[in-house]
Amino acid sequence: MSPNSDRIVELAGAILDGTSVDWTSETSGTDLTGQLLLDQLKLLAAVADVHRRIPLISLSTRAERELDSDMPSAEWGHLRVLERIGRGAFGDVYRAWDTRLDREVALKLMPADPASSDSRVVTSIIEEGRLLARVRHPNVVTIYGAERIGQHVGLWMELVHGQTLQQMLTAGRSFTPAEAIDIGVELCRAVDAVHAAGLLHRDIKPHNVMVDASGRVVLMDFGTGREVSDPSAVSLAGTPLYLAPELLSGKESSPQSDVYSLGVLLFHILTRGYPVRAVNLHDLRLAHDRGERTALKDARQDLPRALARVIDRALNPEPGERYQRAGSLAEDLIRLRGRHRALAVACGVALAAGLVLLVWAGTRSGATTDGDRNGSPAAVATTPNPERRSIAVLPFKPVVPTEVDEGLQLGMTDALIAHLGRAKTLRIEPLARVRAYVAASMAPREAGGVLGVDTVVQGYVGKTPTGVQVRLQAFRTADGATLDGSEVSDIFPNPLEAQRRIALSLSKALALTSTERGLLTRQETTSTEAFQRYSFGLYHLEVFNAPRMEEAEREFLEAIKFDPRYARPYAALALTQLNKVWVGSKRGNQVRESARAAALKAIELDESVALAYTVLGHIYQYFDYAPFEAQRAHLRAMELDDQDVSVLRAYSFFLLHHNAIDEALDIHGRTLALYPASPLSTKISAEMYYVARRYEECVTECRKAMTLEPNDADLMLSIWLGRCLEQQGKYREAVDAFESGRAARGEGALAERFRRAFERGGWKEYWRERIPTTAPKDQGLGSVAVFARLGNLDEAFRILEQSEQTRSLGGFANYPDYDPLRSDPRFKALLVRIGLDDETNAQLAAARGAARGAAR
Amino acid sequence: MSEDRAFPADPESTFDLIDRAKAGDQRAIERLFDRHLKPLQRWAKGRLPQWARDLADTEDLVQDVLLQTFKRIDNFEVRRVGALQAYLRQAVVNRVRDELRRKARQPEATDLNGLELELSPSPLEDAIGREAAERYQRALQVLKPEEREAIIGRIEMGYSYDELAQVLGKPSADAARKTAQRALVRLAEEMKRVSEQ
Repeated sequence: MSPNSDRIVELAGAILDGTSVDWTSETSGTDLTGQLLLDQLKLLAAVADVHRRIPLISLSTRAERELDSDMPSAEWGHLRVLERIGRGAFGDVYRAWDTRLDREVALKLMPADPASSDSRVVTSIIEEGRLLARVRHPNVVTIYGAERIGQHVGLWMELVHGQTLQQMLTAGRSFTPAEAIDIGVELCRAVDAVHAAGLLHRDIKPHNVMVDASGRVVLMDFGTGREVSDPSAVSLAGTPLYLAPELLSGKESSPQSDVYSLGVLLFHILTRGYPVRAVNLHDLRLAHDRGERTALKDARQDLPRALARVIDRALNPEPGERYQRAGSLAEDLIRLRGRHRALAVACGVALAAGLVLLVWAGTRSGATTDGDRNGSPAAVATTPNPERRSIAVLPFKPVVPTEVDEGLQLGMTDALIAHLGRAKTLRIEPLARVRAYVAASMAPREAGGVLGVDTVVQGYVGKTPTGVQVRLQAFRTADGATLDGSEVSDIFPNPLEAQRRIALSLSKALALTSTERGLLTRQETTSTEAFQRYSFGLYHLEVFNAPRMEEAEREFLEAIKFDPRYARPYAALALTQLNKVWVGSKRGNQVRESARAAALKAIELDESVALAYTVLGHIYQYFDYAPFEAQRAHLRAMELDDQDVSVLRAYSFFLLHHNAIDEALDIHGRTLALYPASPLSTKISAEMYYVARRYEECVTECRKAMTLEPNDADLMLSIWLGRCLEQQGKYREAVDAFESGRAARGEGALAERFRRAFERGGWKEYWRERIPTTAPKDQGLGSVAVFARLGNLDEAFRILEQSEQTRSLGGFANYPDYDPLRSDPRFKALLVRIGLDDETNAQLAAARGAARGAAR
Repeated sequence: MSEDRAFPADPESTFDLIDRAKAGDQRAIERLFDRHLKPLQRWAKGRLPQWARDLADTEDLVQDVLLQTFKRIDNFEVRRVGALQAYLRQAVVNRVRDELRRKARQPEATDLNGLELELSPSPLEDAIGREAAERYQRALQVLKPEEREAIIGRIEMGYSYDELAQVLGKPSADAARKTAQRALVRLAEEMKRVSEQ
């Protein structure tokens, strides 16, 4: 087979980064076309290598000497120093090339003057560096070595490409509680690994935490903390705000003082403030002595109380009252986060790769305990469940090592993860995390340790002439033993049968209740074709535009044709109808009843299909103007499946439109955690920031998405970007965003006309040019926004009322576009009619609060 | 520790610097010089055959080319991303050609436009063979200017992604890396096409 295009892009990245590639293993099993392409990439790697090897520093020209007089020397031991990438208080950091292992490294060099009396310090840095080199953990920067050569002590390590948390904060990034929890968990694991090696970090702060492109959190820059053996000199390091109070009064560092620093870091990324503030070291000591500290629960009253409690405990001034280990802090944080589960998206990928992927979509309702049933989603997410076991499914390997079938392997892995995700007593590691942290060569037990899960499943799969061969076992991380009864070794007629058997074995081995076992093994459809059609449809839904909605509809109708008793396609079909309104191809009143009928049909067939309630929630809110019924439907959907992306998204929009912006962002944060790479999620982030009037973040989000997918001629992205820029008063940039989006959609001439209008007469003229030319009766919300900007309120209200009649308003009440209309009494009256007014919002929030209270 | 500098990256874009240099800002000229010297030297060392490098100390030659160019920066019009980078490379090639003439070697024997020099192999040709080097060159010419500059900038001139972002006018190091990544895939496909002809 040919290497897939993602792999090709990754290889290109490796060549550019200078990471080594094992070409032999890359080329094995590829066909001639693939081989030819790999040959070219290999050549390009050689081209890059030639230039990388050209010794730069031998270029000792006059200018060179002047420009880089402070460069220690081109060669430092076996490292070739390439460029300086950072400057620190104790030394500079360089990008360097390791000539022995042919890889790029980061090299931290500190001057070591032999004449100085500090030779003890030098030795201790080297010793500590060597100890650190033994810490192998995905969240700790890997130290390769430490040595003194010539006038310098050097520490060389993995080069992480990314941003520090500090850089992210400086750039205006804010962190949702869910993100802070994820960062906290990973950092705790990192610190725990450092402690396990008998070391302390001593300098935990946002400057020393990097987040790489894949979202991996990496703790770095320690060892140099050693230089500060005298606590009174600590102020020189510049971060006393992160220091535990006992250190300020002269006590020794301890694992608990690192825990305190972790607490400050989490406090800071959630609030941008500090629990104890002062402008100098003297005042800081004083503030600590007087107990002048802010608890997180007071600094941010909107945070889930359980989260504030956990972080405040890490910040207890008494070391004995804190978490004693970073690991315990991690455990409490983990309990706070909703379960992560790999999603059907991966299905999309697998299907696109030509695989028939079989997932039993199962019911959840039978599994919920009575407590859960009454629970509001928020309570479900924040109530610790100490009994919940954690499990990771490692990617399936080929039964015969040379017979790789990526599609089959991926499909089996995804399907198994999706299955296990139905058991509420299990916490499943998302595949993305497993991929990021587990090397293919790792033994299951080691992988379990790295991921911090109780149980690890490793399977092998391959095709045989008679069907699908599977070998699989589950292992306990604690002792590496096989879980009794978890073994599967057989040949099955098809992947569907194989999956069912695996689910059955695992549910026995994990001693799940019979209800959960039923969930894991239940099939919603026996029709492979129906499931495949349904999955393809979901894939189309993800690209939010009119033609894709038509595609999706076709697929769902096909699925229903193959199996008319299969509930899910009905619910998805209903959602597709709604989406047609939001992409502008239909009016609400045209799809209102067909969507309702499809949703009700889904519920009739299987009342546990969460998406069906979500769709009803939509219909109640936007077509029936019945917000309370809508909220009940959304909460019901969340109760049934708070891991389904469509359910979470719809609920987050419901909250957003009812002005519960923080709650909306929180729910959206959970979508992102489940489904980080989705283009649609990014657009939603942008929209939410826009409504939240957090324009800078919106702009950052849009630009990021455009860099990721520059060819994505996306209407929505350019619109959110343009609108945020507009609110920032950057009209020229806003026009540019709107119009390059338009041009990319193939409306270049129109874009040119609008741009010219802006050049001619500025912002107003631009909007005058944009006055819609469609018949007045066909105008929608887009036109309202134009008239609102131009101050033509009568026209704006005419269209609003018309859209109210055709049920095509959606949520719009708190969008900044409509600010010019806000003081007009007609606006308030409209909001009251459609249930988006302040009073309704307050009552809805109270109802949600009451549901949460009842759950506690 | 990352490619993102611990200190804020140079906020001055190449475009701004050129504007300021044109206005006679000496510091801007120095910064441009600083920014381009090392990458150009690296590139020249990889592309020029040994004998050409023997003609004159390559480093000094590149340095002189930069000085001369920046003195005449007035004549330089910025038309697209990476234009200055490409312009400087051509200036180095022109300068080598002048050196050749001056030393009365045989200019006819060479086609310096693409630096496809006949006489002895460059380190690049040495490493991958002349035919492959030619294929690489030809494929590069087919790419869009931005793609070409991304590849030459990163793999031949050794720009960090931050620097590459500045050269290409990208918002971030990561964006520059993405561009280069896509360009490299395109290049490989183009090379494959050439090799299949």
